[in-house]
Amino acid sequence: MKIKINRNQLTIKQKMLSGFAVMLVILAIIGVQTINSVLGIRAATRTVVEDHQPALLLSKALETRISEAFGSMGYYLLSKDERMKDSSITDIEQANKLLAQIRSLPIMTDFVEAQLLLDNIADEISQYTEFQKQMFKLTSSRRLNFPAMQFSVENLNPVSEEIILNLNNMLEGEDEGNADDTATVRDIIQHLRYSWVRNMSEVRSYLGFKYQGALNQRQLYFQAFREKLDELQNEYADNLNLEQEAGIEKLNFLVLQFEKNIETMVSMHSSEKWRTDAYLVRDRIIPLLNNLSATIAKLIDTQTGKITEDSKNLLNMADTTAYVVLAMLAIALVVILVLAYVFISRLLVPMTTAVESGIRSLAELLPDQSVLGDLGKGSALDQAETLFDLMSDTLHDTIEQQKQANEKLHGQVIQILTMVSAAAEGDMSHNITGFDGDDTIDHLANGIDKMIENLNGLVRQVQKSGIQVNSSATQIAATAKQQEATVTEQAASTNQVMATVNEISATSRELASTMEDVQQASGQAADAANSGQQALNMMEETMKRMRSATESITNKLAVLNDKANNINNVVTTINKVADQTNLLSLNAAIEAEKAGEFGRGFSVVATEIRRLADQTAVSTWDIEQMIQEMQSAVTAGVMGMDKFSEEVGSGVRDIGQISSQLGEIIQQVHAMKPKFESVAEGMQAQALGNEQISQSMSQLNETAQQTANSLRQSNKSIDHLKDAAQGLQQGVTRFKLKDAG
Amino acid sequence: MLHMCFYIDEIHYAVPARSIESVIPYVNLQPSTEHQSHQIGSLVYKQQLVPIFDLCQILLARCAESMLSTRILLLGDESGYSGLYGIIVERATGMINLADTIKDQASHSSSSLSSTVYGKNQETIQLLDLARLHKLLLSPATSSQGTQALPTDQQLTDSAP
Repeated sequence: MKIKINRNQLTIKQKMLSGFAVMLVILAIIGVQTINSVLGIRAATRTVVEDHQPALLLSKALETRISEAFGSMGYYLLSKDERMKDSSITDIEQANKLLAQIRSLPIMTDFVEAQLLLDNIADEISQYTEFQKQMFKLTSSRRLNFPAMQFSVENLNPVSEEIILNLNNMLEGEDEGNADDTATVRDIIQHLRYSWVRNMSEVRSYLGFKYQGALNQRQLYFQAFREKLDELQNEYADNLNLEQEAGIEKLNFLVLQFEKNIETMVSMHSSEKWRTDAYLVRDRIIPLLNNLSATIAKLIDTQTGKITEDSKNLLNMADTTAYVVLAMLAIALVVILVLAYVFISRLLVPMTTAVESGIRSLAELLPDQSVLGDLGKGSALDQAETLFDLMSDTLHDTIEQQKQANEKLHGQVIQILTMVSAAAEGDMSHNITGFDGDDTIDHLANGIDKMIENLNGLVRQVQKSGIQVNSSATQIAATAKQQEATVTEQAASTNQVMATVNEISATSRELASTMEDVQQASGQAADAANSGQQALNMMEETMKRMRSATESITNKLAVLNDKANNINNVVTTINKVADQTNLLSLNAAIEAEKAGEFGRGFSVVATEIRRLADQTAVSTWDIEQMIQEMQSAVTAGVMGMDKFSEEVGSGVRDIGQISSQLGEIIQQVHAMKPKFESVAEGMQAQALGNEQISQSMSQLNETAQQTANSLRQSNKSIDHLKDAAQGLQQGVTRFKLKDAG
Repeated sequence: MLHMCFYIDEIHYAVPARSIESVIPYVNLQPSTEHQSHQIGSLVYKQQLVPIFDLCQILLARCAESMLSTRILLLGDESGYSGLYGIIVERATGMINLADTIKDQASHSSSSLSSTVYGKNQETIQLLDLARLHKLLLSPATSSQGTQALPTDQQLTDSAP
């Protein structure tokens, strides 16, 4: 169903309101659209300022931190300054925190590209941190930093030491065969040892300074060593003893092993990884840092691009808003012009017509119709002015007539009013005269005069009764005041007693509670003392066992000391035997030497016997030293055990004494427990009695309060009664009455 | 040639083995009454009275230390002189073959009793000049025979410092 509105049926007010409503709607649309656009711009600006810019700044700070961390690590590697190390570690920690802050920004939730870059950065920082730890470890250990050095320590040095030891053993071996050849063999072995020592010296030089010349020099010494070794095993094989032959065989094996290891060492020391920290910095850390910087730069570019894009959107939105507002203003201007036209055509014209019609209707009401001829001249407003002037003159005449009648009536009313006012003031001695007519005002004056006459009689009666009531009320009030004071004093005393009783009751309750705690504590103390005594008994038993064990150990140590003395005697005997053996071998060697060629075999036997005697002497010397140390230890042990035994005995005595004292304490605690219970029961009974007294006093107090309140209420009523009686008396007194006669 | 080695203080000495009659342990000797002589006592060896001299006393002006390795070398046949005499030396526990050592005739020995210095294993060994020693110990001006109680053969084998 379509609702059709007839414009001619609308009032002027409705039409004006409709016009204003349309204008308001237009303004509202423009305002809403403008606010909407401004809010959009604000949101976009906020995204740029609060999200994108902090993310960009944090990314820049992250880049700086990474750079500073690497710089600090470089300074640490150069200077070994621990502060630089700490600074580098702190920078990485700060970088991780910055990364976490960037991740936590709200904008990153939907920023997938940035999230991927952040994941890469986190991964690369983690790798860098691992490298950093490795670098710090390498800096603290030279061996770890130089793999070839570590390899030499583990693989070259032991072989070299074994070679030197082997050569020494070969030198110390007994001579066999031709004396000149033997001397030459020893010379060659000395030469071998010298070449080998120089060889190792050049190896160390190469390891220390990475000097290629040292390696060449080592090769020369090693070549000399090989040649001498070949000479020894080829030309003097017959002059070698068994030890030397075995030594050469072993040397060949060791030299092969050494050469193999030296090749490995040289390849390690000449490779790119000869120094681990340099290798890591050059081949791992710097590429990693380059990647990291590139990733961070990409992140910053991404964030900058995002900011640029948002800024462009922001400008577009601002432009759009400006265009929309301008368009809206144009539309509003057009609509307002249309409304003005409608207002003039639909509102002012009908209003003028209506005014003219109204004037004509009013003019017809005037008593003098002759003036109507003047109304046809001029505009509607001029006609209305003329009409209103005529109406004003007519009204003025009517008012003057009415005024005269009123003045007469006013004189009569003043007379009545004077009498009524005097009566109101209490003067009821006057009479009204001169109202003999039959008007309404005359009836009114006569009625009032009669009423004042009746009031005279009534007031006289009231004056008498008021005096009597006032006297009685005064007496009752005095009595009630006295009672109230008494009851108030009683209530105060009751309050005081009740407060005291409450305090006593609270104290009793606290005492009862304290006594319960004391009772409980005494029970716990008794239990603890019991368990303590049991523990002390056990400890005493343990201490006794320790004392017996200590005595047993002391006895065993004494036995051990005796045994050591016996061993010492045996060692002395062995020493003497070794000495005699040595002496025997010396004499045997002398005899063999004197026997010449015939004593050659005997000489060998003498030498072996002397060697055995020497070894025996050395071993017995070692045993002697060990025995002496053992005897010292045993003596110290015996002394320590004696002291310990004394301390254990003292501990046993102390524990016995403590146990006895604790027993007495336990008995006293047990004796106190029933007393505490009795006191606690008494305190609880006392607290209960106090509470009953408190309740009774509370009831008494309430009763006194109620009595005091009742008396106060009665006093108030009496006061009111007294005030009423006095008021009545005063009110009646001020009446001036006619003479009673 | 085989030599007997011993030490006087830190100096390494050697005596040809052929010159030594026997090596016996260091026994307590009765002090000599010969105040003008280096002899500190005597002992009986194979029914023969042998004068004993302390080489430490002669070279270092102190007595030899009483240790197991301190021994008495009885010298005789190869020295070119008749009769035995004994010298007390320290750390007499080894023998050495000086044939393969480096002989240095030119160097002057640190002691007036040595004639030749040998080098072996970076250590020098001084060969005791027995002729000079014999002259020093047994010359008429300084030699004399003690008359005090002498140790027997049994004491030589059983006694120890």
